[in-house]
Amino acid sequence: MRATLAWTRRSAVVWVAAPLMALAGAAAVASPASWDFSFGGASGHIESLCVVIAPAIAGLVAWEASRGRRSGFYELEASTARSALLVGARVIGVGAALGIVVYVAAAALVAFRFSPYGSPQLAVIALGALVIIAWAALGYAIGLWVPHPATAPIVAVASYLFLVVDSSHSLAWTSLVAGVDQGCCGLNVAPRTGALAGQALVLTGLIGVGFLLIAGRRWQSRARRPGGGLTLRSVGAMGLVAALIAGGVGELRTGNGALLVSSPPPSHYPCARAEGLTVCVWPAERSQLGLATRAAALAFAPLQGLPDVPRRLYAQGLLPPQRAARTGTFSLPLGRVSAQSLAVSMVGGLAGAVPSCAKRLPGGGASWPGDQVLAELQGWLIHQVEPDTTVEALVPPPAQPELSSLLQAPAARQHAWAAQALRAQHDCSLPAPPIP
Amino acid sequence: MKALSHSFGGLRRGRPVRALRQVSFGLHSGINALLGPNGAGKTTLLRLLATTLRVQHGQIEIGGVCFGADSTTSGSLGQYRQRLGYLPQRGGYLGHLTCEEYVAYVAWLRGMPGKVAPAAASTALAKVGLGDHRRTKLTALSGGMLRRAGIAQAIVNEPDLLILDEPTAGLDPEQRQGFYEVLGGLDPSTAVLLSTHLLEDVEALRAGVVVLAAGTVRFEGPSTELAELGGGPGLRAAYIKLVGSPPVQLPPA
Repeated sequence: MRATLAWTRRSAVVWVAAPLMALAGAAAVASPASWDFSFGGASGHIESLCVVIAPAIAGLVAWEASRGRRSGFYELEASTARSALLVGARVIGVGAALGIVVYVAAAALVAFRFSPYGSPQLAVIALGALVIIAWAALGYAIGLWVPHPATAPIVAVASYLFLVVDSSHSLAWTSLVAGVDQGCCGLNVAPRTGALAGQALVLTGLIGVGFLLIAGRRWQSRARRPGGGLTLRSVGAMGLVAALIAGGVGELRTGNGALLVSSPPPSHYPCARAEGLTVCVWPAERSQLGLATRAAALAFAPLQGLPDVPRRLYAQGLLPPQRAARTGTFSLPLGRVSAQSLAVSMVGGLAGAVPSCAKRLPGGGASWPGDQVLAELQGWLIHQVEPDTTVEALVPPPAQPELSSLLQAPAARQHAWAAQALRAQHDCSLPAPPIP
Repeated sequence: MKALSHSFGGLRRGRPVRALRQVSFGLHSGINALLGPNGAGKTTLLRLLATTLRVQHGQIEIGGVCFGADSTTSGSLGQYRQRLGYLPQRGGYLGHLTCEEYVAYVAWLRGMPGKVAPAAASTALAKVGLGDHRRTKLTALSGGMLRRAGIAQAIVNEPDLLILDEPTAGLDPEQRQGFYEVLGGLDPSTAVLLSTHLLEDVEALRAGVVVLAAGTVRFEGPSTELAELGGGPGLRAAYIKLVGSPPVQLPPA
């Protein structure tokens, strides 16, 4: 083991680990182009980091392979007992392992820097690792066949261009052959299993192509058994690789317009119940479901006697199959949040929206009778969740006397007033109820 | 080896060049020198023996392994390669490695377990007088020391057959003397086949000789017989008689 470890320590791949990490880190913290702040969306951004990492690894591994041939070492190596595939796999393995370490570190950086919420799309992130392995295998094979000093930079640049150009191709299935799709995922879409499998098949096929080229280089030059030309095993290996690529491309071309993503079916929405309330979130937000349920109970359980207070709550954009009565929506905010502050945000959503019956004002505003008590209503709703908050912190000065008066009234009268005030926020024919 | 023929080039590369024509000779334990002018086919022959070239015609039978184009192979090429030591003409040095790392890596390639390879490398380096340079990078070695590091990698597995392609090329007389001493210290049962175009090498090593010219064997036998063929004490006259041109002469020391 020591002999191979020493070789690994001297590998060019190891020496560029730090600059490669810096490069990937810079790409990781660069402003995300299109992903929302869920971990699902971030998964696409993480996967796109392999566009930077994979070409660098491919170039380095090509350098390792071509260096051996240029120095004449390949001639010596060909006379030894170790299989060319084993020797190649070791070089490719060191390169790919380093690339994956950098990739995982950059992914952690994305998670730390942007604090996305929800669960990552692990299959998409794993696909990025497969891209790195595939390009390492191809880079080594090319370096072996073309041992020119310029091979390594050419491999790096060409693979970068391929990954960038192909992944931005307008034809959907072609763009997915690269195995990179920055816009793959989001809160409201999940990767299509078939498309992911198609990409994985193509990439596995490319790894196979790399190893076939390595075996072919050795086969071309070295002594072998008589009749040891195209054996059944080698023909089988070529057939398998061709089948993998053809199967992958076929899978990408068919089904769902070759799109990688599809909206998750309603049956996949994670839901939970607490105190008579049902809360549903996107699959990507599954890890936040407990928090959302606690917040919903905190916010709405005491208000259930009021009109229009939702009993079923859905994460923003997650529309139920048939919009039922007493349904509401909420948004999970960025970063870490307490159940109480999320509950405040939820009750805040009960009032404040301009009703469609409101009279539009020339300055761009709107007016309806209920808006005269809107501030007091919003302050009262928040006070139900955070009773310790002072009136001064809840509403602006003109509304503070009225809210104070309201909060001093008996609880039953407060609820009756809130019920009327809430109705007046949706029905423009109703007057604003007087403060008790 | 029997009736080995080999050609380079072909349809796309123009007229094929026949490097070897029906070459047959036997290898014996001890040192065997392959003597011949440039272009005689020495390197091609050694590469065929080292299994880095495919046998086109003829067969090689050595140490219970038989491989070739026309025959049924017996034995295992893998085992043959494990028992082989090879120093290619271009050396095949990995300059970014230290002597010990380089030799240990070749030991691993020869099939030695990775755990024992460093110890075997140290032993081999000590045998060639590079024991104090185990941690020196190959790029920091002189030409003669580099050649010794090459020999160390070739003997690290204590091979049954040691193939050395022009191992003394570029060495000064003192370095060549050191090289002869290294070869003299090898296990007598090891068959060494070295190619050279220097008569001095053959005389110093008192080796069995195969003279190769234009791809054919012109002489096979002990160096004393070769000298007798020329009618004098040295090999020069016999060489000229067999090859048709004078041998390469070293510049005066």
